Amino acid sequence: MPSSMMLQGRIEALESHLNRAREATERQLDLEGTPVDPNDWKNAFESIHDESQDEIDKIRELRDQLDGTGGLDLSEGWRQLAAIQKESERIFRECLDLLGGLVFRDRKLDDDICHLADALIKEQAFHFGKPTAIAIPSSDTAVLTTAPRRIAHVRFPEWDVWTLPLYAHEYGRLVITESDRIRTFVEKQEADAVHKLGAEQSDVEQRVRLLLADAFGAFTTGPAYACALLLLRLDPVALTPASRALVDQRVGMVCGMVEAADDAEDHRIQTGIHGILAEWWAQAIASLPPVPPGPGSQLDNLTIDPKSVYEQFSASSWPNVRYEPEDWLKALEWGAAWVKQLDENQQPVKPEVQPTTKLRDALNASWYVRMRRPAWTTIGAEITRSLCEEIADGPTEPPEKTGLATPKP
Amino acid sequence: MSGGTSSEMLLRNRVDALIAQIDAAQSSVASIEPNELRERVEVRLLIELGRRREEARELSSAILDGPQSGAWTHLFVLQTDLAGLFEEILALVEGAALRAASFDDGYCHVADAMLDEIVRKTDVPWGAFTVLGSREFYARSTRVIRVRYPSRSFWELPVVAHELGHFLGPELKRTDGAQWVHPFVDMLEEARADQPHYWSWLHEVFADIFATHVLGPCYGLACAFDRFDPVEARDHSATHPAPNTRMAVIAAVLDGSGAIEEAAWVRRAMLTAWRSSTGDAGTADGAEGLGALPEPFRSWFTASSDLLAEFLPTAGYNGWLRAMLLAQQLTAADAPADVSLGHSDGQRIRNVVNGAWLARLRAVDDSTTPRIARQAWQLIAPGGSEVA
Repeated sequence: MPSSMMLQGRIEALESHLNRAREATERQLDLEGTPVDPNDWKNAFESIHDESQDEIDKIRELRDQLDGTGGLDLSEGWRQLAAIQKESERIFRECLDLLGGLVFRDRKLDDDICHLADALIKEQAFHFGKPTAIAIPSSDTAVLTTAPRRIAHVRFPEWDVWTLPLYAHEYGRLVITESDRIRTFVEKQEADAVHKLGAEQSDVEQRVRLLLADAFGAFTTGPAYACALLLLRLDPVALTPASRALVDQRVGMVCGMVEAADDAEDHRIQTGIHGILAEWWAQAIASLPPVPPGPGSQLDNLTIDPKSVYEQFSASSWPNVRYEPEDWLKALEWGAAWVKQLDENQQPVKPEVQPTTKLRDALNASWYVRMRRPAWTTIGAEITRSLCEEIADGPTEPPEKTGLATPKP
Repeated sequence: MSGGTSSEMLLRNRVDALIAQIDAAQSSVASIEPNELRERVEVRLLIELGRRREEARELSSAILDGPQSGAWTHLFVLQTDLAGLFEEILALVEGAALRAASFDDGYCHVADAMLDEIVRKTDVPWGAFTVLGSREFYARSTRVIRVRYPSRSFWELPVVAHELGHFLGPELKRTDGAQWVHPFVDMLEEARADQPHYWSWLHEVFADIFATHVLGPCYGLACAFDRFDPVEARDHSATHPAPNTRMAVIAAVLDGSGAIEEAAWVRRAMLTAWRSSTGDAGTADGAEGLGALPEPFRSWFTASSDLLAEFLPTAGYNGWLRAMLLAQQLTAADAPADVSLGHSDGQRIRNVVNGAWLARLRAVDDSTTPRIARQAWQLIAPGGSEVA
């Protein structure tokens, strides 16, 4: 068989595979167990669909060049095919992850945590006027390496309602990338870091956006985000100086954001939680052996001032989604009631849900109790989940009817 | 506000959360449908998860008794161990769900059948199944083999046998009277001691030899025509030897597989196709045959071949005559070949795949390739969806 026919055969096969992937993004699966809004489905698959089409266009162009008078030699043809193949494999992987995640959700194997993560993200997305994201179960590595898409990765098998605040980070990654209001600030942070640290632009970008997504989580979800991140997700054990530095940066950012909210001039929240979390974290680190010596990373010295991030988010970007003092007062009200019920050996009572009640209200109240009464971890899990489900599934009112903060001019 | 919580409480939080995750993973495994897939993996996976759950529970109890030196590190190690297992279980559960939703159009069922056909000729039970994945991959913890999405190509079906080789190699064992010895595992460790990356390379070489041994020429043909990248033909990677080297290994296996003239012709056609595409890509090399293989590949080839001869003598493909008969019928574009051909030798699927590849090679031009694939597919998956 002539080599040109081998190459053509491979081109045709790859085009067929890309078409199959693109068709999969157009064909909405019949998911009875977890109805997905067609718009959300479309948004989640949109970039995969478009990228598949881009590669199909490249394949067709390659074929035309080989067939026609383009004069493309076979050596270059094989090289171009290899490049398209590599990019296609990334698209196939993401398409399969998304389809697999949705089918997994449909089987209700996630204890409905993805549904709650969707609801948390929708609460935030409402204020940005941008499409939301669909939550799907993912492996640990998928969470760390996948570029931001309209997909929120819920770590398998973390079905625990206590980790729900962490999914604010997932939407934060999208917002940091897409929001025009924050772009100048983000780019300045990146440029400053590249200049000071001499690190690669892409590495700086990834780190800065990770930290700002953490900041977004704390800004929008309140202290519950910081509690979940430090107490359940970040690892005090560090194998290298670089991994220790990364974790320290994340701890510093979220504790700093909670502190900035506590101390903000015009809307002091005063949770006091950042101090406690920082103390617990320091105790955990102190109990560990020193990090083995080794080469660090240029990014280890990256600093972003949480207070300036908080001020930036508040003043010019997203005041409508900021966690406010009245939100904390509600959490205190609910939390204090639960503490009293626990101390009096009463059955905890679920508070009344209003159309204005948000998931962050339930999450902050429950974390408030958990920080004071460790037994709430198990006793409170069910009532917290039930409360979250009621909030997620209940009617909501748009913010203009509820007198929430309006954007500053 | 309570400020006296110690590192031990933080630690216990984490351990208890990990136990909850293990319980959730166990529930996921128990939910796999249909039953016949779940039964292949459930017991083994629940034992694996149960063992780690017990370890986490003991750690949690120990923490309650007081400060534990090394507890955080113990937890870190356990989490890292479980992260890999969780990743595989997620792929398995999602893969099974996609199969149940017919997302693979029955491809995985046929891949399972081919692998079961191979395993029946050994005394090593595989006890797993195939699912869709972003690439072919064998997962040690679950034994599940992933087949590439969205390929579903009939012609690439042989590639899954390579992944089975990754499973079977380490399972080969003999007793020296006092204990079990795993000769391939010993070979791997010796290779690793020589150079760290040799462990992976030897795994790949063995899997290529195994696939050729149990499938015959169709494995090498799939690699040459559809899978190996000519652009990277000379490039060794951290995990895989260069495709040129791998083709030389496959050709060496076929060289020793009997004096059937047709089989020799197929081997030459395979090498001609590979040399043609690598020639155009500027990556050809002239190596052919066992003598041209450099070390350590030559020694690995000999040792692996000896292992297969010792442990899997009945698994070698020997249905070439039946494959040739099928090929004649598939080439003729008549009604599908007589389904009874190849049934009685326990190599039905392998005969069809080899027959189809032979028909494809003999075809005057490429336009008949899809028709041959469709007809061959109908022989091994009657009533199933079409494949490319």
